[in-house]
Amino acid sequence: MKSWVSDAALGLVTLVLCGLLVFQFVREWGAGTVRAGEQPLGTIVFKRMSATRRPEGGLTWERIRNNSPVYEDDTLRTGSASEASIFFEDGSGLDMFENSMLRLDFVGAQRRFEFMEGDISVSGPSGSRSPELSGLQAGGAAASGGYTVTVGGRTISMAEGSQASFSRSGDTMTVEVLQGEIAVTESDGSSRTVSEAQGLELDLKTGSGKTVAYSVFPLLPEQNARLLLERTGSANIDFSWKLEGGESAVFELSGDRDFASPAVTTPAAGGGLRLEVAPGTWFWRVRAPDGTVSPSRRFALLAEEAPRPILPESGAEMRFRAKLPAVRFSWTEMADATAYILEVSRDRQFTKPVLKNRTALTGLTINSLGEGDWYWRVSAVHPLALIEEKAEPEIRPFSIRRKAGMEAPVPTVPVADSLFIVQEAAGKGIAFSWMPDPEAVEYELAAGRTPDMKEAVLTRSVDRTWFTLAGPEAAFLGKPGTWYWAVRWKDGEGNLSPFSKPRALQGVDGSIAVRLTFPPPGYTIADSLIGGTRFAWKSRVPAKAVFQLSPDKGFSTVAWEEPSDTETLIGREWKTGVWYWRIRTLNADGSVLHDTEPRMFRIVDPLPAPTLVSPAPGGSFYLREGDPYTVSWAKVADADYYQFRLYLAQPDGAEVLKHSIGVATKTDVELPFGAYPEGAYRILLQAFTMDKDASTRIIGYLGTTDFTFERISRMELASPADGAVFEGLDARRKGIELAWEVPDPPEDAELMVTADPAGRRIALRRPGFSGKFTAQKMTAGDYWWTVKGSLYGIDISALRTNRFTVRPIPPLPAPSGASPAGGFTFGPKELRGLSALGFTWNAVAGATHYSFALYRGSNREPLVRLESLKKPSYAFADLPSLENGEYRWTVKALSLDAAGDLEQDGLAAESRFSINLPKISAPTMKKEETYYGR
Amino acid sequence: MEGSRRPRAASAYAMLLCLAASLSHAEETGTFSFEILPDGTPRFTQVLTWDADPNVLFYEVAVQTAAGKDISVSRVEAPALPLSLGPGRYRYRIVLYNCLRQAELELPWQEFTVLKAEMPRITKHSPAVWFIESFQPRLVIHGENLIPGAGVRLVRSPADGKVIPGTETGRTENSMMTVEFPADSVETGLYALEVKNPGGLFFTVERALLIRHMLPAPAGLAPSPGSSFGPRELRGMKSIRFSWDAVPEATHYVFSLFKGTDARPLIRREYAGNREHTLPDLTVLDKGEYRWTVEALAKDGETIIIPCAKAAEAGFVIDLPQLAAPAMKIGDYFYGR
Repeated sequence: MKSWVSDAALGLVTLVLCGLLVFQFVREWGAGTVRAGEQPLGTIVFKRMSATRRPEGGLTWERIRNNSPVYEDDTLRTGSASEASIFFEDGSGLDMFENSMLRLDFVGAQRRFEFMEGDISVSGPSGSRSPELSGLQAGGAAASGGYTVTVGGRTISMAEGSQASFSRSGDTMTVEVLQGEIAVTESDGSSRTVSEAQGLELDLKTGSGKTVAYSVFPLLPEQNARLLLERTGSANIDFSWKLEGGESAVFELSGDRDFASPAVTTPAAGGGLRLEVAPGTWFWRVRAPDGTVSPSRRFALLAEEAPRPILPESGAEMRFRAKLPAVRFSWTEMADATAYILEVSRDRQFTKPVLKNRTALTGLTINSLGEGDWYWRVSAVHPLALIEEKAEPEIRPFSIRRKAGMEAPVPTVPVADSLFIVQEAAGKGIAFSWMPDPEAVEYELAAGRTPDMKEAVLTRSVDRTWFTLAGPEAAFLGKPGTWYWAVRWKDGEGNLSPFSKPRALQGVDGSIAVRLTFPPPGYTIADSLIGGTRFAWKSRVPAKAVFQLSPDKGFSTVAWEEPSDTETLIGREWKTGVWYWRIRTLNADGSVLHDTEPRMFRIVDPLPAPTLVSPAPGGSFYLREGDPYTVSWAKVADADYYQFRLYLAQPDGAEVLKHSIGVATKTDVELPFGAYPEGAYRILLQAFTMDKDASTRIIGYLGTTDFTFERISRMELASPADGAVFEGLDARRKGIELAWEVPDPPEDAELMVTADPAGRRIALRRPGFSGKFTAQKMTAGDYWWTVKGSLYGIDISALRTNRFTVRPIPPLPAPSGASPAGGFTFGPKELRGLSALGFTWNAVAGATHYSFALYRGSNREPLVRLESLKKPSYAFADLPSLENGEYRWTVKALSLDAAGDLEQDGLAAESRFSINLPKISAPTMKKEETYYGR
Repeated sequence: MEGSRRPRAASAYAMLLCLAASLSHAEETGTFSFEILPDGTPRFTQVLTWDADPNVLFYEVAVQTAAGKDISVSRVEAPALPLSLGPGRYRYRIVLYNCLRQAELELPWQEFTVLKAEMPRITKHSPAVWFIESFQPRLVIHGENLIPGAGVRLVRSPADGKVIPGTETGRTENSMMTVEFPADSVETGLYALEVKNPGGLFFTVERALLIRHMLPAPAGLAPSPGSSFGPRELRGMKSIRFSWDAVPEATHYVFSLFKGTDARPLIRREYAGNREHTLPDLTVLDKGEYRWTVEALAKDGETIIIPCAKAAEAGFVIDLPQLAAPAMKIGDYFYGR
C-alpha cells in the first residue's frame, strides 16, 4: 500500500514537471524577445514565411515577426521561400531572401555585418552622396553613415546612398553594385573600388577575385523591388536599362530565376519598355545584340487593397450619461501591411488630428473621445512601392452625445401583442430581449396579468440583455389569456431606471386554435374543378392565418402560401398529384405561432379514354354471318359508368349511328354484328365518376376507336366421298388423297383422320391449309376424316365428317429350296473349313426382304432373328454359340417400302439340322523341357 | 589360331541361316534352333510342341514367365509354337478349340526353361599333325566357353563325310579340355576341329589337324646292296659314290656309313636336296663288310616337319687278298748320269 502511494506521488510529480517543461517550451517557441535596456538597431518591417533570429551567445533560434526589433550581434536567418526586410534607425535597409544568414555587428557608429550565405540586398542610408565617395577608406571604419560587410577576410564598404546585392553559395560570392560605389579591402590591406554597373566575383577559398563591368545593366525596377497595386488586375510597369553601344536589345521576363521558360521575350529599343505585368514574383534581364546578357533583376508585384473602415459606421451616434463611451474602431486587413495609422479628427480635412495611433492590429478601442462630432480614417504602413497613385483613405463621420437622465430600456422581443401556445411555453420557452444601455450593470425583467407590474408574477434579475423564460419558471404561462411584460435597468450606483413600456402577450390554447373543415382528408378533386373547390377552416385565435400547400407531408417545400382572413380559400390551378395543406398562424412579430396537422388531398386528371379491347383498335374483326359479337373495353380506374356509341361509315363520309348506350355500368356489350353490313365502324367511349363524399365528379376523355368488320365462311370436305373403299396394297403404295375447300385462308387449319367416328383414336393429324393431303401407309380399317380451322379466332371447321375403308393386304408365299436340307448333320469334317453356317433358299417374287430365325431344339426364343435380309441367304458366323444338338430355322418373304417399313408380310418356311462333334482328348504333355536362347 | 566363325562381310551372313540345330540333347531338351544375324550374333527360336488331336480346330497357347507375367497368347492350328525367348524360366498353357470354335479343353500350366547358349572359342590346340606310323589320338584344346557337354569332332576337308567324333577325357574349367578320338577311325587327311556347345553354338578351326604317313625310305640305292669291291674294282677307283632316288616332299636326306654291325656310323652327313654322297678317301676303308643308310626328311629350317618312316639300307664288302712279300735282289747296280 505504501509503495503504491509513493509510486503514484512520483508519477504525479513527473507529469507536473513534464507539463511545466512543455509549457515553457511552447512559450519560448512562440515568443519574441524584447531586450530591456538595450537599444534596437532596427525593425523587421517585412517578413514572409520563416525568418528567425539568434542573439549573441544564444543556442535557440527564435521566430521574428513584423515589427520585431533587431539588436547588435543578432544572427538573422531565413528559410526556404522566405524573406525579411530590416529597416534600420538611420533609414537604411537590408533585404534578406530565401536561405540567407548574416550576423549584425554594429559597434557604435560602425554598421557592420557578417554575411554568411544566401542572397541579400543592402542599401546605404539615404543622404547626400559623400564627396569622398570615391575615396572610401579601407576597413570601412571611415565609412561614416555607410555599411561594412565582412566576408571571409574581406571588408566591403558601402557609402551612403549606395546599394548592392550580395549572393553567396559555398565559397563563391558575387557582389553587384546597383547604385553608387563600394570599396573592397583584401586581408592584405589592398583595396579596389567597384562602381555602379559593375560586379565583383570572389572565390573565398583561394582569395582570388575580379571586377566585372556590365555592358548592359538593368536600372528599373530595382533589384528586389516590391511593388504594390492597390486593386486587382495587372499593372503597367516601366522597365529601363543601360546599354553601351547600342539601342536595340531583347527584353526577357520570367517567373523563374533561370529563365527556363520566359513569359515575355520581346525586342526593345531605347533602353526602356512598358509592359503589362500580372501580380507575382518576376525576374527580368536584357540581352544585348552581341549576346551579352545583363544580370537578372527580381521584383515582386503585389495586388492588395488598402484597408477600409468597418466601425463606427458613417454617421453613427454614441450616447452617454456620465461616462464617456468606448469607441471601437475596426477596418479590413492588408496582408503586407506592417502597421496601420488610425487618425481621428474634429474636422474632415484632418488639419489637426486629435488622435494618430500606429498599430499592427485591425482594430482599436478609444474611450477618451468627448462629446461632439468626429471624423476618422485609417491607412496602411508597408515597405512596398506604390506603382500607381495612392488611393485616398475613406473618411467616416460619427458623433458622441450626452443624455439627461436614466431612460427606460427599449424592449425588442416579443413584440407587442405577441401570441404564444400555452402548451408549448414551458417546453420551448419564450425569449425576451431589449436594447442595452452602456451604463447598465443589471436588468430586471417583470411579467404579470396587469400592465403596471404592481402585481408582477415574475421578477427576474439578469446581467445581459436577453433572457429565455422556460421550465418551471415559465409554468405560470400555462394558462391562456393576456399577459404583460416590461424591463428596467440598474446603474453602478444601484439606481433603477423606469420600466419599459409594458407589452401584451396572449396565451393561446393550441389544441383548439385552428380546425380544418373542408375538404376531408384524402379528398379527390378533378383537375377541372380544383379552381372551384373551397378550402375552409375554423380559427379561435386572433392571429394572422396563412394557407400553405406542399407536395410532402413534412412541408419541406411550400408550393403555395397565401394569407387569408376569411377562414376560407378557393383552390388555384395547382398541378395534379398528391398535396398536403395546413393553416399556419403567425405571431404579432411574424414568427410562427402554430401549424395545424397537414391534410392530404389529391388532384387528378380527367379519366383516361377507355381502351377498346375487342375488337382490336385500328384492325379488322371477322365474324361468321349471323353470329353475335361482344364489344369490350378496359376498365377505367375510378370510373362509375361509360357512354357507348357505334357508328357505321358510309361511302360518302357520313356516319350512321348503329347502337348507343347512355349509361353502361359494365365494360362490354353484345351486339348482333353478324346481321350488320361489312364496312368501317367507329366506337365512341367515355368514362365518368359521380360526385361522392371523398371525391368530386370526374369526367373522362372521349375515346374514339375505328375498326373494320368482315364476314368469313367455313371449310367444306370435297373427296373422297363418304363411304369410299380402297384396296390395301394400293392404299399402302399410292396413298389416299383427301381434298377439301378453303373459301377463306384460315389462320390455322388441321386435317384429322380418326379410326372411330367419335374422333378419339387419331390416325392422322396434319396442317390443313392447302386443301388437299395424300394419306400414306394407311393400314386396313375404317376411317373418319374432317378438317378443322379458325380465322381471326373464329372457328371455320367443316361441319361434316366423312368415312372411308382400307382393305387388308394378302401375304407373300413361303420360300422354297431351303439349304441345308432338312436333317443335315454337321460334323468335324463339315465344320473344319467353315467360318459360318450358310443358309439359302429360293427367292420369292414380290419380296424385297426376308425374315430369318434360327432356333435350338424346340426353344421358342431364337438364337438369331433377322428381319430385313435383302438376299435369299444368311451366313451364321457365331459358331461358338452352337453346340451338339438339333436346330431348326425359319424364313419368310417380306415386302418393304422405300422407307423400310413393312408393306406386305409373307408365310414362313421351316427346316432342321443337327451338329455332332466328338469330344477332344487331352494330349500327353512332356516333362519340363529345356531350351536354349540368348 | 583363328576360328572360322569370325564375322566376315555382313552381306555374306545376312542370309546365312546357320545350322538349323534341331538338336536332341538330353532327355528334357526341347526343340530349338538359331540363326546367325549379320552382326554375328545368334538368334534363337524355341519351338513348343505337343501331340495333335484331329478334332481340334486350333490351339490357343498362353506363355508366361514362371512368375506369371504374360508374354504372349497365340493361336496355332499345328501343335507347335515357335518362340524367341531369352534365358529364364517360363510356363505355357494350351487351350484346345473344337470345330465350333469353342474352348473345349484347357490343359494345366507346363513349365520350361531356356538356358543361355554360350559361343565357344578355340584359341590353341595341339598337336597339329598326326603320323599314321606313330600317333596318340588325343588333342589338347585351349579356348573360351568350352562348356561341359560340348561336342568335339574332326571333320575331314574337303568334306567327304569323314567325321571323327571325340570324347572328352579331361578339362580345366571352361578354358581347356582334352579329347580322345578312336584310333581305328583315324585316316589320313586334313581335318577341321569343331567344338559345339550345348545349345548348338559351335566353333570350327579349319585345317586344324593333318593326319598322314611319314616319308618312305629312298629307293634306287647305288651301289646296290651286296656289292663287293675287290682289287680289280678298286684298282682304278679313287672314290666311291653313293646315290639314291628322290623321295617326294623330302627336303633333306641323311647319309650314314657303318662298318660291320657297328651302330656308330663312320660317316654321317645330311644333305639338303642332294641325293648322293661321295667317299673320296678310300683309305678310311678296310677290308670287311660295310653298310650304308639314307633317310628322307621334310624340314622347315631345323624343324623336321615330316620324318622318315624307315631308312633305306644297303651293304657292300671290301674284299682284298693278302699281299705276298716279293724276293728282293741284293747288290744290283744301276747307272745314271
